[in-house]
Amino acid sequence: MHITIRESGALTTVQDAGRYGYQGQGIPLSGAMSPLAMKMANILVGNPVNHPVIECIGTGPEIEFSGAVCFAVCGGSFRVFLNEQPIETNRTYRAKAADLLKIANAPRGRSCVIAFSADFVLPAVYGSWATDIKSGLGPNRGGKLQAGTVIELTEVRSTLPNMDRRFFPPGTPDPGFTVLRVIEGPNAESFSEKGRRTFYENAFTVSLQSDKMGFRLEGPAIETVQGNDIISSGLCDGAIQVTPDAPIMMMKNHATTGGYAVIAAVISADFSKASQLMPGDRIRFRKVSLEEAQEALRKQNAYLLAAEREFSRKGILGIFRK
Amino acid sequence: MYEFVIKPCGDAALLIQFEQKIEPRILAEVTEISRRIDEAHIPGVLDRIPAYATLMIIYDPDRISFERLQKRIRDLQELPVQTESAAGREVHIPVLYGSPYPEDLKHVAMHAGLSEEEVIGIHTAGAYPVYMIGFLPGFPYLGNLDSRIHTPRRTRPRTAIRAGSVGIGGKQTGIYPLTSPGGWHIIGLTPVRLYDPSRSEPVLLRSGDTVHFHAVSQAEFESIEKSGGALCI
Repeated sequence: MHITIRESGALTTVQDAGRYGYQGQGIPLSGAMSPLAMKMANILVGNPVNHPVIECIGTGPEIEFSGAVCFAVCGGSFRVFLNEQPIETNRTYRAKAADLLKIANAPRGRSCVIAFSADFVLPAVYGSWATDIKSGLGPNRGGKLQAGTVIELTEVRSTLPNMDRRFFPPGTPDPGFTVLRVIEGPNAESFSEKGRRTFYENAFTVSLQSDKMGFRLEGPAIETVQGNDIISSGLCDGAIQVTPDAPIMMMKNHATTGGYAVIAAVISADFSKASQLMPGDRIRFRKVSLEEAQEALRKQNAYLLAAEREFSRKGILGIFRK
Repeated sequence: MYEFVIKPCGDAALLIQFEQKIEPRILAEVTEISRRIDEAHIPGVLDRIPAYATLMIIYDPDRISFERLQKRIRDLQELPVQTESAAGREVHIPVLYGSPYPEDLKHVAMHAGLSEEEVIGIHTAGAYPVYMIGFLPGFPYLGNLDSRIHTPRRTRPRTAIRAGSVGIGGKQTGIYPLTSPGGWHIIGLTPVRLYDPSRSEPVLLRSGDTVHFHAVSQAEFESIEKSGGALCI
């Protein structure tokens, strides 16, 4: 069977956890903007957590199914329709032949992913299904999925056990600004005591200049000791480089190296939340220890593992009862 | 090996920091520790980004902890230095000087108080170590540009510089591997593809290589371009 992209949406691509092993050659990691959304969607449809998915940024695509397959949409709170009937995110559904899935816009959030209980018949490029448009890498020649694109599916599981139990309960309400936990960065000493206080004690606003490479943050100037420049050095997801104009938080398609001091880096457990921020959203940074970061990630992993067990478990009662 | 510090960069990456200087001896150390980590096949290590005086290691915190990885790196640091280190390659890059922006070569010559031929002579006489690859896929940071042709960047950067453009920006010279915005003066164009996602090895240059430029004619340029911009090393 196959799926057909009927409408492309704003920026619809195939992604996975990213293209590891080539960053030393300047090739960006790329991958799903929200690794957590990718993992949740894959768990919902019984896939390995880093299985390739379709990612939508902005208005999503319309996808037609040629046969039965299960799917789930996770990430921002996108409005999703199956045959024009609204359906939920964070829940597994079963599509049948001629069904039409439509991902409309999102009142909150930047990206979502669609996982299918099947494998895409698409080539991996340098070991990954991640798409990076700038470097032209990815299963669709590094491009967006355009209207008319047909993706063959194989290893299709048309039904899954415990369909009624396959959902994640709604998250906590939006507090108006997001606190992101960070670990002090490798160039923290480039900033004065005052500069560091400015960073941790003030709110910053996500600028309009924010995309898959990075989010520019508007806020008070952060004082350095001797300027922002460093000898160019490697970067990672969540690293916050402070340019003379503004801090920039590195997202999945960030340049592999940079020449500005890194004041802090967002912890893995909060990176996916950060990736959903939109222009105008206000954020604060809270410094945590490496141990706290590791504990937060352990908790997140334990939650995902519990869900995975719950979805595949034999028996009646679920832990995520409504 | 020289001393370095290991610092976390978030909880899924760490940075090995040497003395913060641009020097061949420090680059050699970065290259050496990067090679040792590569050959140690440490489970959970996902990627390495060598730079002038740092090596970033990207790791999977679900598979290895910062503490454990730090210990493994310190153990590798203790290993005796091998007498023969893998030598970098000598890479010859053909350049059609004065193309596609002849005004830039003119500007560099004027700024240096030299003729265009003299600028080309100085640029082709140099041997340029690749210090690191970054910024764009396959973009080489080259050292050793002759100070006589150092030229401040353009006051108004171009929005799109053609792939293969050979430029001078301040004290640096380099080659744009793909079409990109940029503020360097473009003194020539190479038909060699520094980055080609259809190749099994997408990126031509590696840190530790030495680049030599040599001038070619329009006809030679076209013949290399027709053959696919490949380069035998």
